[in-house]
Amino acid sequence: MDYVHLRRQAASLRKGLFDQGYLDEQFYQLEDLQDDASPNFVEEVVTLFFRDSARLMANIDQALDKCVKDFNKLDVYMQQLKGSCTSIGASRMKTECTAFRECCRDENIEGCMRSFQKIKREHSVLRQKLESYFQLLRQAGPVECATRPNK
Amino acid sequence: MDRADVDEGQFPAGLRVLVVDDDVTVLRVLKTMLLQCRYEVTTCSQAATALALLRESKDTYHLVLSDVHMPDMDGFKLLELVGLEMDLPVIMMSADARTNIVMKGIKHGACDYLIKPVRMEELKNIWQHVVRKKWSDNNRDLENSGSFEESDRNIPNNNANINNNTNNNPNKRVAEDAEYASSVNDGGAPDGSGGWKSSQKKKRCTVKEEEEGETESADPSSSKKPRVVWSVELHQQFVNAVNQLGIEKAVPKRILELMNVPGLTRENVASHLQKFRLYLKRLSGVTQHHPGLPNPFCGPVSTNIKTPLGRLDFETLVASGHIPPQALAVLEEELLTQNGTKQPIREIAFGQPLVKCGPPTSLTRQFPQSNLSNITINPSLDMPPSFSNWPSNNDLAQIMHQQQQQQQQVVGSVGTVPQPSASLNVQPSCLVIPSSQQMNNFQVSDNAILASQSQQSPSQGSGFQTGSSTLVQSPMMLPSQSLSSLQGMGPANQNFQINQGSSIIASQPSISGNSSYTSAGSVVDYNNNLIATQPKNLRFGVGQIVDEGLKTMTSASNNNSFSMPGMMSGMINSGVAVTGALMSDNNRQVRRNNLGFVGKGTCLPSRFAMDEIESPTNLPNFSQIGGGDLVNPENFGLDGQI
Repeated sequence: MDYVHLRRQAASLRKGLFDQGYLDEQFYQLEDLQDDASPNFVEEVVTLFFRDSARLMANIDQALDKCVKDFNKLDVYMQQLKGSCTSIGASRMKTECTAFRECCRDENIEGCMRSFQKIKREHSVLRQKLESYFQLLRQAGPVECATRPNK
Repeated sequence: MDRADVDEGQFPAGLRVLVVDDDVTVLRVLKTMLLQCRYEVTTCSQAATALALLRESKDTYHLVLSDVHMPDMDGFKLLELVGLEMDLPVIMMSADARTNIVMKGIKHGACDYLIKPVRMEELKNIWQHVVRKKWSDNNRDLENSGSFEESDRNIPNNNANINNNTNNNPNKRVAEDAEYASSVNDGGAPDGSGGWKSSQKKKRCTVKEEEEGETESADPSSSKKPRVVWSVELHQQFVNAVNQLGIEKAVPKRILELMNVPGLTRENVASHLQKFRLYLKRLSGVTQHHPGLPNPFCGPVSTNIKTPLGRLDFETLVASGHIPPQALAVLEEELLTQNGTKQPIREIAFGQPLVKCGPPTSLTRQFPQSNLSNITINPSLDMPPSFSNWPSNNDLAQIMHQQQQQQQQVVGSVGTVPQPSASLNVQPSCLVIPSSQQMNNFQVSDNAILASQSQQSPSQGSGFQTGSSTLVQSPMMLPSQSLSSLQGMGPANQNFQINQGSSIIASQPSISGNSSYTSAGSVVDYNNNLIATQPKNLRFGVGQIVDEGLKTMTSASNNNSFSMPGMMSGMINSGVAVTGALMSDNNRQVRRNNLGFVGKGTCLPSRFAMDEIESPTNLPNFSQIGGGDLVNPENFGLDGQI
C-alpha cells in the first residue's frame, strides 16, 4: 500500500478542513493532546461529538416540528450544541449555531428553521470529511498520528 | 485541600480535580487535558452526582470545574453549594462570554471563569486558585482566632486587642500595617505574592474546630488551645439560633443547643454572643426602630464589631444575600429621625451604592469560609485571595467604586452634605482599596459594610457615628481624589481625627478628607463627646469603630488592618471611627493613636470618593497623604485637616 500517498491524502484533506473553515484552532489542541498514551484520542473525541450532537439535533428537530415555538428551550439546546462544537473546533457549525440563537432571540421561527437546516448540512459534511480523514489515517498506518500542520 | 497527599515536590501534579459538565465531548477533552497537566481527574455529567461525590468526602477534591449551563442544576447554584458546604475553589466554564454572566459567576463565588473552548494553558494555571485560597484561609484563620479569644498570641495584629488601646504602640501597628500594606500593594500582582509574604509570616495556623472542615497544615505557634473559627456558616447558624430565641432570651446554653454543632462549647458561644451583643448595641438605634430589618442586618451587624467578627458578619451577610437596599433605606430613615440631622443618611447613601454592588460578590477571601469571596473571577482580576486584607479591600473598593460609578449614587451626603454629618458619609470612601484595586469577591462585603455602617450611626445618635464609619471607610478606599471631594464637602477643617484613637487606617486619607466634612459642629461635638467617652480604640482591622459610643475605628488589629473584606466592614466601621476624627482638633490627639492602618496607597479612595462625595475640594491632608503612603498618621489627616 502506498502509505505515503495515503498520508499525503489525509494531510491534504485535513488542510482543506482548516482552510475552508470547517475546523479551527481547537482542533489543533485536540491533536496536541494525542500521544502515545491516547493514540486515537482525536478520533474518539470526534466520534463522541458526532454521536452526542446527533442526539441533540434530533431533540431540536423534534422541538421545531412541534411548532410550539418554545424559543427558550430551543436556545438552551442550541447552547449545548454550540458548546460541543467549540470543544472540537467545529467552526462552521458553531457559527451557524450562533445564527440560530439569534433567530431565537428575535423569535423568528422561520429563521430558526432555516438556520437549523444549515446546521444539519454542516454537521453532515463535517462528519463525512472527518470520517474519510480518519479512515485514511488508519489506512496509512500507525506510523504517524495527525500532526500539527505548519500554520 | 490537604496538601499532604499531593507530593509536594511534584505539585501541582496530583491535584485532584472534579469536572462537571453535561457535554460528554467536553468532559472527554477536559479530562485528557487535565491528565496531561498531571492532575487527577474525576468527571461527571450531572451536578447532583458531583455534589454527592463531594459530600461523600470533603477532602477528596481540591478543585471543582463546572459548566454554567447544565440541565439538572444551574451551575451557579452548584457553585454556591460547593462553596458553602465544602469551601472548595470552583472554576466556572462556559461558551457564554457575556460579561453579565461572567459577573454573575464571580458574584456567586467562582474563583475563575473560563470561556470555552478551554485551552491547556488555562488549565495549567488552575492550581493557583487552590493555593491562593488555602493561604488566604490561613490568614483568615489567624485573624479570626485572635479575635475571639483574649489574645494570647503574639501575633501583633490580634483582633482581640480590642480592649487594648492601641495607643500603646500605635507606631508599631502603623508600621506593621504599613509594611503589610505596602507589601500588599507591592504585591498587587495577581498571585498576590506581595501579600503572601507578609501573610506568611503572620500565618500561624489556627487550629480550626472540626466544624470548619479543614485543618490548616500550619501549626499554631502561639495559640495554646484550639480556637473556634467562626466561619460564615457557623456564624449564620449562630445568628439563626439567636433570632430564633430572640435576642433577649438568647443565652449561650440555648444557643448552643440550637446550633447543635459538635465540638462547640458554651464558652465559645458565650464569647461570641458577647461580641454580637456589642455589635447589636451599636446598631440598636437602627435595629430597634425597624424590627423588620432583615436578618442580614443582624448578621452583618457584627461587621462593626471587631474585624474578625465584622468580617464574618459581612460574609454572612454576603452569604445570606446581602442587605437589601430597602433595608438600607430604612436604616437611613431611621438614622435621620434619630439624629435629626442628615448625617445618617449619608451613610446610607453610601451604603446603598455598595449594596448595589451586589452582595454575592465573592469577597471570599476575606471572609472566613466564604466561598464567595474566593473569587478571582477572571484572570484579569487576579486578586490574590490570600491577601485577605488588602486585596479584598481593593477589590471591594474597586467594585464599589465601579458600582458607584455605575449607579451614580450620589451619596450626596458625602458630597453635598453641608453639615458635618454629611461629611461623615464619606463612608463609602471608607472602603479602602489598595491601589491595586483588584476585585475580589468582595461584593457582599460592600454591602455589608455599608449596612453596618449605617447601622452604626444611629447608636451614636448622630450622623457622626455613621458618618464616621463612613469616613473611615472611605478613607481607605477613596482614592486621593475622593478625599478632595470630601473636603469640599465638609466644613472644613475638621481634623480628621480618628476617633478615639481607633486605629485609623492610615490609608484613610479620605478620612482626613472627611474630616473636612465633619467640620460641622455636630460632628465635632459628637466626636468630642465620643472621644471623651471612648476610652479605647479598638484596633480592629480596618478602621473599625469599636467603641461603644462611637465605634472607634479600629482597624482590624489583624495584620493588615485593612484587608479583607472583613476589612471592609471594618472599614465601614472605621468610617465611623473616622468621624471621630473629624472632630475638632482637640480630639485630634485622641485619635491619632489609633491609626492602625497605614497603608500605602490605601487611602486613595479618591476615585471612589469622588463619585460619592462629589466634592471637588481637595483634602489638604489628603494631598499629603495622597500618595497613598499613609504611613504616617500625622499625614493621615489627623493633622487636621484637611
